[in-house]
Amino acid sequence: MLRLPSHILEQILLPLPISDLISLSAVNRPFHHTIREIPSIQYKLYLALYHSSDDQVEHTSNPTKGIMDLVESQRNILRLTPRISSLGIGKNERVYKVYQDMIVTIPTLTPISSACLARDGTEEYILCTMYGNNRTHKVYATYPPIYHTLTILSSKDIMVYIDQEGYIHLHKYHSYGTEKYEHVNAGIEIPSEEWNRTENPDQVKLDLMEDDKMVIDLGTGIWLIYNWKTGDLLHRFPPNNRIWSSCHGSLITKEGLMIGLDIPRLAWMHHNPSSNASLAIFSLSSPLTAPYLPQLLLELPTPYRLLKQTIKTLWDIPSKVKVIISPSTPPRIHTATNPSFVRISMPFKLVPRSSYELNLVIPIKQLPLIKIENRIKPWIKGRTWRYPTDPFDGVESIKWDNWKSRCHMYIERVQTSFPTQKSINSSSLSNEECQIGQRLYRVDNSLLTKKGQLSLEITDFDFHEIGQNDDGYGALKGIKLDMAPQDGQRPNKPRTSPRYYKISEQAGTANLPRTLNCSGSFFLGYPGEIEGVLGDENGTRLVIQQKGNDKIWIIDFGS
Amino acid sequence: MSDNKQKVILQTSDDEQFTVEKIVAERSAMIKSMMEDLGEQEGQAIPLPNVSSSVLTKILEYCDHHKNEPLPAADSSDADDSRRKTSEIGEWDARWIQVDQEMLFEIILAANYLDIKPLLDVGCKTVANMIKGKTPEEIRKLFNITNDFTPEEEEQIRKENEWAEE
Repeated sequence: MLRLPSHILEQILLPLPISDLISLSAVNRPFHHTIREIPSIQYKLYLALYHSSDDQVEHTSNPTKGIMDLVESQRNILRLTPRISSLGIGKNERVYKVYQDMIVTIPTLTPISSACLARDGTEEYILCTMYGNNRTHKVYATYPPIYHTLTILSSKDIMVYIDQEGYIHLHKYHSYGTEKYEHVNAGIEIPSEEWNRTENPDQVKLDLMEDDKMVIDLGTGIWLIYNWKTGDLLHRFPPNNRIWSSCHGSLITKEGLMIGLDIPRLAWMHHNPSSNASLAIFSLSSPLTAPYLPQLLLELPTPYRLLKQTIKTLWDIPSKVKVIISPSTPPRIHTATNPSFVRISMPFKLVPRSSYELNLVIPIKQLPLIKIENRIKPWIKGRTWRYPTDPFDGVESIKWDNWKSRCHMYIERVQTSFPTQKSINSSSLSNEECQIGQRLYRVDNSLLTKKGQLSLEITDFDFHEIGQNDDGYGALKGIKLDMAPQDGQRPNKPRTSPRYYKISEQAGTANLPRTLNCSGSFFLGYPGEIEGVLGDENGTRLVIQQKGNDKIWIIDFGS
Repeated sequence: MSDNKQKVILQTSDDEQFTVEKIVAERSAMIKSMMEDLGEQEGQAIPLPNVSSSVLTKILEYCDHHKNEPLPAADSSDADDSRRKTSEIGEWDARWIQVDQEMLFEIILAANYLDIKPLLDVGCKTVANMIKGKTPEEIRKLFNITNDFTPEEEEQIRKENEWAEE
């Protein structure tokens, strides 16, 4: 095989999954050499190492530069050395999406308030404003939009939103080099029997997948899966209403896995607090054979007594202090961009009245390690997994002690009151943090509010050191990096140097990678409460919006 | 005689001559370009010094089956990209390419030389599918490769590749 010319080898190897490239590198010396010497393959491996998104590997004209840029931006993140700039945005705009070359805002006013007349005299509504490449571009919608359903698939120049009547509108825009955009369709009507069940349109979510699928979470425990190119409704999920009627949030990974948290109904939980919550994982990329079967059902360790014990052990709480876990504040799954871990928060209180959360951080790549058998059977019977007396056949029940080695766990004090049942589905992330890939980015709101000081903390739950040298044996050819700065040291080549800098590391276990935490602060000079923290899908560009500030802060870790 | 029925003579590395329909031969961008260069010099054989008669026989079968399909653009297009990205191979192509490994690599080399992009794709995808999901040991067995790493090197490789373990 190795007698084939390198460009053919590249064509064969490049589309292979990472695991196969790793296997090939361990076959023998010539294969090892081949994997390490084809730049596009190395680039693909580096992207995987950093959980970065780039589906353009095959077309990257200079993959070597891509690797260097990637390594450089990762180093900037690790050392908290961003470029900080500000950008003026319009009044009544909220930052909605961040891309590497574009920031999208949506109006804070209602669509009706933003209505204006188009050239042809018809009424139109501001859908969003796009900032980038020194241009500002307003996009208008023909129908009053539900703003937070706006979704952009930048790799395909596609923009979608749902209007207030329940129609899906698909636009093709032109990388916003021009102000033209086309309606791809006249609007796909969401079946009225589904749309009418949606009590609160604010709970509706929309996701676009690379493989032409569009997933609409109606916020009622029902998902509709469309082909956005043809407008065909492929699936209504789940096929059986009973199954997801108590869904408490979901997230979709870039690999097309939908992960949902299901917990018993509150009333039922109240009477039977020992029941477990479950994670169910569905592959949206699987062949379209109805019904979508969960690839995995995982019982989470939420029995009442076990949770109390865990909390007490983790935090060394004296036995006489009371831990209260209220049935009215169930666990919730956090939304994320391009997630590589699932974060679940379980609220509790310590008497007298302090509020805390126990957080479980489960790497998504851990989940498929746990297999279940006989998964079709329960669906045929129409059972759910929530009743301990009638569990799913073959669901693996993992002992709580084993869970501790499978996920990161930490306890945090919660400033605000517990989220109410109603707010759970809309957005579980606080506006002071964002989860991107394997990292959690957090900003201290009180410091920014009082002193205009940006205190940024980045936790990498899947940290890999890549200091291999050129003579190493791994599939990745080493790029010589200088060492990560030690605790308290300033980075060697600062761009914007943090005023203080702190780094700490938590060793990995057999099932968990290392965790790295770095924090530092920057003086922005504008005291103001945080309106939102958002990042691009690689986490190299953060945008911070403050209330009352018509400028947004761009924290750019890019090379 | 209609243009489609025009014939062209191809001469392989082992000096065998094949008379084929122009529409079939034109699946090869290289032959097409040579035909344009040669003009209307009927009866002149086009030499293919890098292709043996057994491989050309096989490739002509492929070209004949696909002769009525639109030719891919000279430069990489969207259709080309989407064709490459999927690992699926058409049913007929998958049956057609069930050959021994030696022939498979000969076909790939010939497809590259003759510049038949869809055929090169089929060949590359076939090899990729053979590799998919296999352990290093299984790949060695598949391609009859000897492991020349020392045990220490193997351990080092395992350690350095740990980051990608599922």
